[in-house]
Amino acid sequence: METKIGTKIYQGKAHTFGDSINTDVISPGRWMREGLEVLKLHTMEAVRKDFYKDVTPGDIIVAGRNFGCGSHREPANSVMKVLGISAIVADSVARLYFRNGIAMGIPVFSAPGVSKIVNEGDEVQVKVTEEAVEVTNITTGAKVFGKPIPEVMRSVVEAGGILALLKAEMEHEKQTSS
Amino acid sequence: MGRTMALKILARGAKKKEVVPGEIVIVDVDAVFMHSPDYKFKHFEQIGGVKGVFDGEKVVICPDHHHFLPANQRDANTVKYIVEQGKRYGVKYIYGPGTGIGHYLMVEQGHVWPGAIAVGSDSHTTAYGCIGCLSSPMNFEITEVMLSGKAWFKTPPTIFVKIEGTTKRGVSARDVAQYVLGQLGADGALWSAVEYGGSYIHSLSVWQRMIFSLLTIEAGGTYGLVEPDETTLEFMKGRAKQPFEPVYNDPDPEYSKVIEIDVSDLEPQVAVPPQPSFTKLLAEVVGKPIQQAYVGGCTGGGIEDMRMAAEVLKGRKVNPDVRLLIVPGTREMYGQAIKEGLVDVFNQAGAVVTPAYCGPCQQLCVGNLADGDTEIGTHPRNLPGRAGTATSIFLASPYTVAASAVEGKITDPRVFLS
Repeated sequence: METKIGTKIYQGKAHTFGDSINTDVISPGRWMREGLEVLKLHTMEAVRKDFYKDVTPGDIIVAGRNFGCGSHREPANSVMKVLGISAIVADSVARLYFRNGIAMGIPVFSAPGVSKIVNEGDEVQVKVTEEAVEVTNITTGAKVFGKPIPEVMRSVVEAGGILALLKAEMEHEKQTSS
Repeated sequence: MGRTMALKILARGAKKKEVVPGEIVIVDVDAVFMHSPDYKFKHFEQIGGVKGVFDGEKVVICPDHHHFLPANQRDANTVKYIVEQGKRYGVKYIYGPGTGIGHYLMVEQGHVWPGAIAVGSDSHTTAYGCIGCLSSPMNFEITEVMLSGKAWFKTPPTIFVKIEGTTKRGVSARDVAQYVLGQLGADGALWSAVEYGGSYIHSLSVWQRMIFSLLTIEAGGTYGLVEPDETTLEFMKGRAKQPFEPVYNDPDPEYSKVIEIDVSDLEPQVAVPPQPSFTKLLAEVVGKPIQQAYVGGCTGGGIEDMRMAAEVLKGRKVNPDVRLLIVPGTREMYGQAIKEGLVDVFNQAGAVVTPAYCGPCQQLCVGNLADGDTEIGTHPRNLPGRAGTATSIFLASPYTVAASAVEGKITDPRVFLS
């Protein structure tokens, strides 16, 4: 597999959360099927009421360990886009939340120690290269590094998610079979 | 050092001789479980030109979360859409209302077998490891798996939890599994397989083993395995949808970590809010008043779970300030409970028995909690926001849940067991 992604940079104001922010917190069952515009009003409310009011487009969520654990829910990832969150970076990310995020083209990264170097409201930059995920606290200058995205995910990231990739494959198939 | 069964199953699925932990492999899957595939069918529409799933025999749909019967018109429309689209794309097995919880059905109806590779849209799809099937949750990517029959996995290291001894009276498999989960912690098994073994595990039925496999996800694990034994093979007789070859560990398999536990002196355990892995001694929370009690869910709807609850409830009454719900795991389990007279015991005790489905675990159908309510249940998860925002949920064994329902407060069940 020779697919390459260039350097991607996300920068924005940080909203900090603790450990084990689970998908019931991100996407409460009660509101999950009411559509993303309704769901976003309730995202995180079990730990921070009216979170959506604090978010400006491009902001970054910085969290502790095991972000996105619990039930597997597409809305728990997709609501982030609707809220305007540009990237999520945590000390560690639950496996499925990570896989979902990549598959949906919503950036989720793990960078151990990030929760220790970022405070609420700091300006944060996440730089994703082939070698590492580099997180810089622009406000303080502190830095931490995470492992790069597995190679198998790169073509997905490049295509902007799995659906775009499948669509392209289907179209290719249609053209070659007709 | 030998290879673990997880690596051997993945190597077989990828048609490779050897794989090492950390390698990315693409494997053929034997089963795909879907609990609310409406999103996936919408993906099919977005992609365009999709004619059908990769193999109609291998994709199973069971809308168990929302509906033993839809609670409102929106859910009714969703179920209708799921069934219509499932048929349109050639899915053969679509389980209807009252058939039960998908995870139990996948095993009970033989959609998975020892050595199979399965994925499921529900996070508790680590469950089928109880028969030595490599099963793992997958969500958004299932759209791709449904079309290609292939999935990628990062081959895992395996943590071995060796459990020995015999439990004291009134201490059940749920207490042991709850204790193990507490030892692992919420992210103690992240990106790992967990294998459960030792004489205690192999003394359990397949359904009681499933509690361990299923709760593995609450420690962040990718798979929760039990090596097949005579109990497994006896259970599988005449059940699997196709002939199979089980996969076992090599002698002296290479584990990343070994945790040894002796259950001989273990006391009843409980998970306290706000996480399934927050395990405490039951004794620490005894006396807390409850408003709802629930025996059911994919870690408590089995026939043995209902037997335990009935043992406590026989000849006793549920406290008038408590709602007790009994929700069988599958129609077969429900039928068995009727045959054994358990449903009569529940009814006379003043419990509510519902058809088989996921129950109020996620509060998507019936049994919702009011603000400020406390619930104790046998289900797998008590995360904040799951069942309302201002509620508090404890998880425990069927004995403990039934005893707490009788007393109206969290109670050590051993006072009711002779």
